[in-house]
Amino acid sequence: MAKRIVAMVKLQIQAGKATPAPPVGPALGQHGVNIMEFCKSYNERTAKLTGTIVPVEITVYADRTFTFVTKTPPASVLLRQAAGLEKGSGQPNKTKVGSVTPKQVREIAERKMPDLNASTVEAAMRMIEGTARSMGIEVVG
Amino acid sequence: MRWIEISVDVRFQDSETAGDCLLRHCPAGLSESAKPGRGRRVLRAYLPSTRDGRIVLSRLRRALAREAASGSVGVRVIGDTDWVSLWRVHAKPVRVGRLTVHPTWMRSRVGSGQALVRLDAGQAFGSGEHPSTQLCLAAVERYVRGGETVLDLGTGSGILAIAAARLGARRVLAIDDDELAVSIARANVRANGVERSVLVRRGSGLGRVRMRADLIVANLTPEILAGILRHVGRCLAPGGRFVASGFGPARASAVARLAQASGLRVVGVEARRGWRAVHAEAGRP
Repeated sequence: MAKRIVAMVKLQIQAGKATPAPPVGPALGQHGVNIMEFCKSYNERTAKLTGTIVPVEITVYADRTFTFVTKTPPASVLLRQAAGLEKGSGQPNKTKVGSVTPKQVREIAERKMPDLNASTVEAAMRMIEGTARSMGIEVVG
Repeated sequence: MRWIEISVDVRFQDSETAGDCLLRHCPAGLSESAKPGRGRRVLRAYLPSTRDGRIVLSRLRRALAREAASGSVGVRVIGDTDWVSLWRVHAKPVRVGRLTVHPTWMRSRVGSGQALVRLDAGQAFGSGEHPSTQLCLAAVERYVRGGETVLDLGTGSGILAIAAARLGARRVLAIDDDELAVSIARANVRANGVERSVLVRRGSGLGRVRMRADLIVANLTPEILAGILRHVGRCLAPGGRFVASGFGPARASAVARLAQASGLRVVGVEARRGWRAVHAEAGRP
């Protein structure tokens, strides 16, 4: 018998550092999920990625048990890391805040392929370039 | 502590930019929910409701206005809820052999020869619900018959140390590197009246430990276990047991190999709901 799903919860949190404090607590507590069990499992699974945001999708079933899948870090986070930046540009059309190389764009695209709606790496690269433009990051090289 | 909740209602295609903006200001992260059929998402992030939090909030509002202008921003203060306890309406006692574990707010009776552990894990790990905790509880229940010396590494709430003492261990040393866990464990030790036999100490690894235990339990990640296993032989009495959990099947064999490499004999691997515990034994002279 398939288990009935009562909620899907999406979080973007620090790898290896989930705690019951917000945003985890308010998002999961309302569905009766054992928050400590989630934190421990998530931290175990993402321990090697500490220092990055690792999004997670949690499926909550009718008996309050849950499963979760981790996703690749957001493109904007990876782009900022690649460009060595703290933040994006406030006015992306006017202010360029940094640059990445096409090789870096390809690496990010390849890493994010499983989560992108793109059939080829080239298509994924165009999506990543779009995100870069909207953040004021140029692709140069 | 009270929290400032910032919610941003944005078009689907702008959610990445808005999310990025929130993550830069609220490093703990965000939650997102979809608005069905409307092509919009609501992102929520949190800041502590303090003076510093409000300073970051005003920076965040300016950044959102610049970078995610299509979003509508809502701000409210939420109270200090005990998030860990929200699910407590569903809590049940955990029974492992002679042991029963449940939160202090729950009432129960145990028969003779049984041992009860009443504790509130709070924000420390170890409520008894997690399979890796249960694997370790089962090991404590199996190996502690009375009079033993026990070492609990990464004690968290203190659950395993207290269980050992309640089952008759003579002396228990519980170690955790997290200050919060140490204070929670000490409170739980007192609540169970076992402060004469259980000592909770802040520290990491076995480097400074000078004792020979009949049983060492370590519910930790494989990375931390690797460091501990280097010293484990020195801290085990002849024939003493070492039980490690805190990992799944994929990494159980690596932990078993490490235990073997440190001179122990692996006597078994126990399984519970996707988690594993490696049981090993020190040699006898």
